[in-house]
Amino acid sequence: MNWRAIARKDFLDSVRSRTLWALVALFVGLLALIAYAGQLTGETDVTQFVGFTGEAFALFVPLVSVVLGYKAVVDERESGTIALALSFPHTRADFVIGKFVGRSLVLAIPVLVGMLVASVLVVVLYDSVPVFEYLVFSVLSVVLGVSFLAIAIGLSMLTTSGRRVTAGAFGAYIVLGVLWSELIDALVLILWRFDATVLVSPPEWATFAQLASPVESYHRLVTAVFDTGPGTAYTTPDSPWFVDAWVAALLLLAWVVFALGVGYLRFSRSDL
Amino acid sequence: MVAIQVENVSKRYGTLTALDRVGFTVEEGEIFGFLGPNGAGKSTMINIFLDFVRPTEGTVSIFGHNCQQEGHLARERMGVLPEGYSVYDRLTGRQHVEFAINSKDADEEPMKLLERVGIRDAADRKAGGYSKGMAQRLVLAMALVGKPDLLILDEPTTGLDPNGAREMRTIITEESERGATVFFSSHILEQVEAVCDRVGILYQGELAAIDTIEGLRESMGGGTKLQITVNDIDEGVLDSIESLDGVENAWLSNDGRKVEVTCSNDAKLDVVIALDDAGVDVSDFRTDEASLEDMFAAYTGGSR
Repeated sequence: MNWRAIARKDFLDSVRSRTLWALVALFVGLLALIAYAGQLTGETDVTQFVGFTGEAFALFVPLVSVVLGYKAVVDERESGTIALALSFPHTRADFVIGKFVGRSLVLAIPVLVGMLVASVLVVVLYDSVPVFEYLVFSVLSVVLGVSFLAIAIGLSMLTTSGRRVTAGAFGAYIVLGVLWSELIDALVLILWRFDATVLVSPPEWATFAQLASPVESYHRLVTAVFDTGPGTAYTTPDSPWFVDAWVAALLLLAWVVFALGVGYLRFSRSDL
Repeated sequence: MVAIQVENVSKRYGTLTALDRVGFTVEEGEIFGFLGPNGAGKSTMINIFLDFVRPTEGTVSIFGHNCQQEGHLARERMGVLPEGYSVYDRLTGRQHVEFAINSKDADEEPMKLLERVGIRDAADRKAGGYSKGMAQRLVLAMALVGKPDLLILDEPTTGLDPNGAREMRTIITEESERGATVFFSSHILEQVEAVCDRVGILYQGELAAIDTIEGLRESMGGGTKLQITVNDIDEGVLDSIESLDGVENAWLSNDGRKVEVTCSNDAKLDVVIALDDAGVDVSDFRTDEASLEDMFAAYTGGSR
């Protein structure tokens, strides 16, 4: 396994191009703003901060991931640099794993540094901060990003057409990251002939389908640590068992495996 | 020991046949020239070595490793200057070589390699600003990382000026003396002739000939080439000359004023007599040792 050389180069590229620094600045700024603005309402429980941050991350982190990931493979194929990279003793799997690991780091560092810097503000401005839960929340936010990174890189492996990958990656962001709940609701409404009362207690399969988007899985997992945010919709007394947090964790993991797996199957079989 | 073993390899894209049942072996320590006009399928073959392209049928193994099933093991012993690559625009020359060193788990001094290929001064400039020739030198430096047992060079002199091409030949010779096997493709004949032990000629996806340069000359009928200046000639006469004993090929030079014939030494006079019989006016007559270029022309259909 020689994916390290690829990961290292990919990571260093983002340092050289200052992408990493820009992202660190962006996340620190965003989180500082949330930490400050969150307590202006007078509510100084830390769930206030986590609730706002979770919602902001749900929109923002997947977008950053898609931008980081969608060009990973297709760009090298379109430009021809892949002929250099793969003339070395890397397998195509090494190549993809290296890209995935390298870019995961580029995502994780800004998120974690941002959370670290924000923690200073949070300690000062909010009531007691549970360190372990705060840490778990930070890691979950990275995992959310990693799942979208896998989706973007998976798409990047599918074709040699950069435009199609771009359309697919941002389409995936819109569908899975932004509109998912609305789409499932719309589907249920259509099936129930626009009887809106069905949305009050939707069928179990619809609840599960809701949970299946990485963003919803993230919300559900956040709720397991801090009882706040959109994920509380899954923790009502009459919620089915399969919307438990471990299912959400499995779903997130499944996205990574599925997206990278499907992309790799195609990529590994095609001529460059 | 065999460095490269190609067995019955075909590659088809739909109805287009890029390679048609090609087979040959390259022994360890050889300098093997892979010759053919552009579009003959040379790069397709090399891309199969690198597992960029999968053959429709047949197998290729390098040092006993199947290039498709365990290509990374094959590539561990290879240094490659591929075709159709581009350099990483935002990385410097030195960073490229460092990437190569990391990729091969080698322990080498990047500047020494860059010095050897003649771009030391450009080491810390971004490769995006390199000329084609400099990029070619850079990728050669990357190929040399880790002292590979086999160098695969696809049209290595592309973009190089004559001086650069000569330096490339020097490096090929040095690497060969170190013990490396060298496989390089070219459509430029002099270069192959200058350094290669053996040559394979690929034409329209088929291996037209494979031999040492001397062997190819011999098979060309003693390696004599006649250049006969004529005043006026009917193309039909060429066929009757080719039908003579000892004559390999006869063709008209580009300006249409010379008949060029490759033949055995004994057949020279017969050719002139045949021309005379056909009523062709011979005004000048020269013999040369057949160059590889002539063989190439002969094997690839004569038109030059």
